[in-house]
Amino acid sequence: MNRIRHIIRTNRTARIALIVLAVVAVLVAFGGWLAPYDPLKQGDAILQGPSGSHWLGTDNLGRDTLSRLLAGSRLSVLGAVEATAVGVVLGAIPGLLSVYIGRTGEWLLLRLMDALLALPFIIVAIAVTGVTGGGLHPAMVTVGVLFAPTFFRISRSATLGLRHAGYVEAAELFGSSTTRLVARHVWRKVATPIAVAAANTTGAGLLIVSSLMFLGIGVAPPAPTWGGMLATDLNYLTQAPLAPLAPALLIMATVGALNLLADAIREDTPAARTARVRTPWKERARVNAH
Amino acid sequence: MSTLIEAPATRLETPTEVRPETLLQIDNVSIGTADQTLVHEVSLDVGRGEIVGIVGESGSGKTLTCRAALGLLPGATAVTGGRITLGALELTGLTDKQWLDVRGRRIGAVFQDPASYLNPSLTIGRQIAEVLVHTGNVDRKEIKDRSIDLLQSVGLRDAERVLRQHPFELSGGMLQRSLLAVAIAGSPELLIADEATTALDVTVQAEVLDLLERLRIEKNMSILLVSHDLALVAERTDRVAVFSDGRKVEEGPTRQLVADPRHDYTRELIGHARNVVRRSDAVARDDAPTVLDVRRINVSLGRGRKRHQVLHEVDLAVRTGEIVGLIGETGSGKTTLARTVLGLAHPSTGEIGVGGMDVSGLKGRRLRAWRRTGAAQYVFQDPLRALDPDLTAGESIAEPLAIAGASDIAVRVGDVLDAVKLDRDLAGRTPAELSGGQRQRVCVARALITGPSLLICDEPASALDATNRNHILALLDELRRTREIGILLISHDLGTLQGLADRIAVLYRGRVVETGPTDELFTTPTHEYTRRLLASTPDLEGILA
Repeated sequence: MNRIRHIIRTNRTARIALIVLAVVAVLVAFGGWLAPYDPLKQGDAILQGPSGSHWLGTDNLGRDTLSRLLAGSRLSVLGAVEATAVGVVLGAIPGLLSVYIGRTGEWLLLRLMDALLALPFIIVAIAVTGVTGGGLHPAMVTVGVLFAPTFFRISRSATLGLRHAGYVEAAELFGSSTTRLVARHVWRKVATPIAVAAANTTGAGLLIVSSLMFLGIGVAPPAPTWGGMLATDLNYLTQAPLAPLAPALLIMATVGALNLLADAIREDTPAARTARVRTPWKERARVNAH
Repeated sequence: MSTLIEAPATRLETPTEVRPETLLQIDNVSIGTADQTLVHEVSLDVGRGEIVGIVGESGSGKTLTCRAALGLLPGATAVTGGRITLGALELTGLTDKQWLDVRGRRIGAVFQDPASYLNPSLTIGRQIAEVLVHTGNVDRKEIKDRSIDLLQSVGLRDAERVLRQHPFELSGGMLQRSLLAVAIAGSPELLIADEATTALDVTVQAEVLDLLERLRIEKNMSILLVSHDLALVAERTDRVAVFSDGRKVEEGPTRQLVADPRHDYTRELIGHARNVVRRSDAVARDDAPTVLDVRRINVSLGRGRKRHQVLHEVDLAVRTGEIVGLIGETGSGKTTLARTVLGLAHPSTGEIGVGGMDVSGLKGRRLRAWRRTGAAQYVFQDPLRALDPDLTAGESIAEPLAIAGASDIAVRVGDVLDAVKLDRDLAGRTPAELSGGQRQRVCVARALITGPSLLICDEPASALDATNRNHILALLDELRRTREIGILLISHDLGTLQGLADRIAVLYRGRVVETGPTDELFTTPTHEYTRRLLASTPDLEGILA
């Protein structure tokens, strides 16, 4: 919590990112309630541009675009968050355990994660939705499972790096149990890279949700989603050339804010802070090397 | 190596009245960033064929000055005043392209960590060839022969094989020699050696320094020898400049400067180098109980084909009230011995008695239970890495008690803070908010809080500067007098142990080759390695004698 407060105080980019995300959170929570019209109600005025009564215009069935965007926030964003949450739980915890679990368990976990890495997100998500008979949850849980190896690798390598850290070894020499050692010394250090990855992954997840909806998978048609709106609008590009802009900008702003936040957390680790103060040129070199 | 790098029998004396022609002239140079001056108006001359030393603690500006002479100032720093000339050429203000003709050809450089200055993915041969081609005047066909010559001249016996090897295949000493070969490949007139031997074992350090002296004599090369170690610089140079806080505080002929320092800071440096820490006379009585009794242990590390024996039939004993020094080069098994005593490695045969209990076979739950008694504690080399950056000093110190489930934690934390002479207010600070010396005191306090009968200190002072080093060592001496404790002090520095240890054990390639009372070991060393170690250790007294 202190870390977050410190980031907000010192990093302007992070402040902007958090403001954008706060707005998105409001949309998720109250979007449907804020919508001026029923997002499903069709009208005669189709494919209209922005006007006083319809701020963002209407779509091909005469539905109010603003209302659909607001109402669609929840499914779009929560889907991405759901996938990330599943990925963190299934990835970070086994990653930490893999270091302490013993050689056989470690080997099995590593091979399982390698196998998952080989599967492509969208295609597997499509397949699972097909098998389970549709619905957003199965698709997002699947995407989450496929995210797991990323978190697994990150938490495993962070834990491995700490295993022989002086203070971890010291705690071992004081007779600490492995559980206490992990809880007291390891978990907090691993949590930072996980938070960075989670912010990045939520951005990626949002894109995947949008792609799936764009493909018409996961959500039954009348229900509004950002990706679904983008797909519909693209069909009528000649009549309403500006229509795809609104959903596209929302997706972009959310993903961008998440990535900026991830960068801010990464840059705020104590190690990075001291490195930046003492040796600015080294820090630059490392960034370029990425 | 004996024929190639034999120590010069007599030091080439530069007559003080006739100064050689000046090669490098640093004239009133200031270095800084836009808003801060880091080096203030420093002047220093290096004559042709002269070895000049710069001594100072970290942050004194010695490295920045060297880097300015190489045109390699980091990031935002720049020369803000004065000029640097090499012969007739002014170096300040050269363009990047013009520097190419200076670096390698006229000025060579060797730094502290050779591994980071060599490209890990190229063979040593390729890296020497790169310089030879860059500096020109070598026929492509001759490159291999010239490279072999160079490697042999820096004392690498098996030059042809080294040529084909990558940096990771070589030891630290071999890497530093290879880097030296790269540095002198262009036959530079001036060689800058910035802490070039700091990371090396004393015996290897002496060999590399001998090599520098030989280069100076044979090629009339000028050498700028930069180090924090006054004894080392004093032993090898004609003239010394002392840097402190970005200023040159004193400069003069080495012998004169050491014998008759003018500046307070120089006096302080000399005081530290002459080992002000002396053990107290209260040597352990013969009937004092033995707290550590290591008997004929053999330890092997690694798995499968990589398994190799690190310790052979090692015997070692420490009694209450005694400081036993353990000395040996990198890879001799010092740390493995400490880790074995603490149950981090397991002996294949032999016994380890701590306070009369055999701990060599303890594993799992029984090992943890023994550790919680806190009978044996360990002080790490680098306090910054031994302390959790997220915990306050107080939380770290309390940790052994918290793990053991003790109740009177707050009182005991206060007591040990007093014992290590740390202000109680510092308990609320995190490691980042403490100085290097304070951090190591926190580590010692954490080790003391369980009231151990055995304290193992692994190079406890080597990450600290001279002042803090002496304070920590004095603290250890006091602890052994005031508490019922025996201390095993591991070090690679004979000077540290000479002042402090009652007895010294010399570990060489996994075997204790010699053990005995400190004075005896210094006056009548029996093993060949001990003699070599004694001869290699820079000694300020020798210069004054």
